[in-house]
Amino acid sequence: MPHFFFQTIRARVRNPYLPVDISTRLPLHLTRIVGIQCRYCSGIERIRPAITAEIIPRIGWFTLAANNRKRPLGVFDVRYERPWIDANDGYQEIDVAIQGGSMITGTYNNELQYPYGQAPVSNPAGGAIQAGLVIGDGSLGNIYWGAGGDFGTPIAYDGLFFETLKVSPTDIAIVNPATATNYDGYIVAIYLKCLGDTNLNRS
Amino acid sequence: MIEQLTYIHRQMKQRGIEVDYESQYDFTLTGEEGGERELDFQNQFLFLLNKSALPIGTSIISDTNSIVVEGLNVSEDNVEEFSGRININLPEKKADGSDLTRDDVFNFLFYHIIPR
Repeated sequence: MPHFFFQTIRARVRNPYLPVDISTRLPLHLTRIVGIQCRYCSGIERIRPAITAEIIPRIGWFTLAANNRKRPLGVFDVRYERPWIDANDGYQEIDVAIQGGSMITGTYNNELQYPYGQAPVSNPAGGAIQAGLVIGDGSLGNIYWGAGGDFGTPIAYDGLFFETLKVSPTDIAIVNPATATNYDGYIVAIYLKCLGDTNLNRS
Repeated sequence: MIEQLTYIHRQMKQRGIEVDYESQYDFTLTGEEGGERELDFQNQFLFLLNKSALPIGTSIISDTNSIVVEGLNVSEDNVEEFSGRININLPEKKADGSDLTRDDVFNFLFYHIIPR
């Protein structure tokens, strides 16, 4: 007898500039996707400087395809909401037959860039911030990243999210996870509402 | 090693897609023109064949796949697939920190497939 099953696929965004690949094989007992929801889960609250907005309409988006890339599902926006905001938790209706044990594939593209749509923050050492480099002003927690521009010679292509990191005012820091308090990015998830049958015997 | 065209045709076959037309599709981008190009390839496929020759930081974002060229360990026979609206951006700077100019010419080589 068919039942509803809820399948969750998570993606962790560690680097704001790199897309996150998704490639997950769905369980064999699922036969049909009837609803989908792409939501932010956790982690943004820990990014410093802290985000002030209660809602950001789009922090990124998923591109997804089902059935081993045979069936593109489309593009799905992900919005940020503070935990106390009433979240829109409705499933978007879709109706896709799943091949047995096929893959869900796609990418998540982060759009969340410090300073979250505000004016770029300049560096005490002068100039705007080079994309991908992390620059400190000597105090714990003041880490700037994300805005493009000229900041001397870039040293490395990086751009991890960090919770706290202490570097000298004139440093252009290459992020070193061994010495910094590394913040592990944020997590977004795809919730699939599926029809399936645990008695199903298919291969 | 993967032979790129063999890989592409095998992909199409596995998905049950019959090829109606296929051709090379290439163009150049220079630093002078802002290094940005938008392509419309709805219901078609573009396979990037020369990822390893593109500058670090190049991003290609499409409706079905997104990549940023990280520069390290990109195999010469790497194939990336795109479809739908495709947005291509060169990085603002080269790896040595200098700005891109009109002398910096980058060739993008794709294999274009129109399904039947």
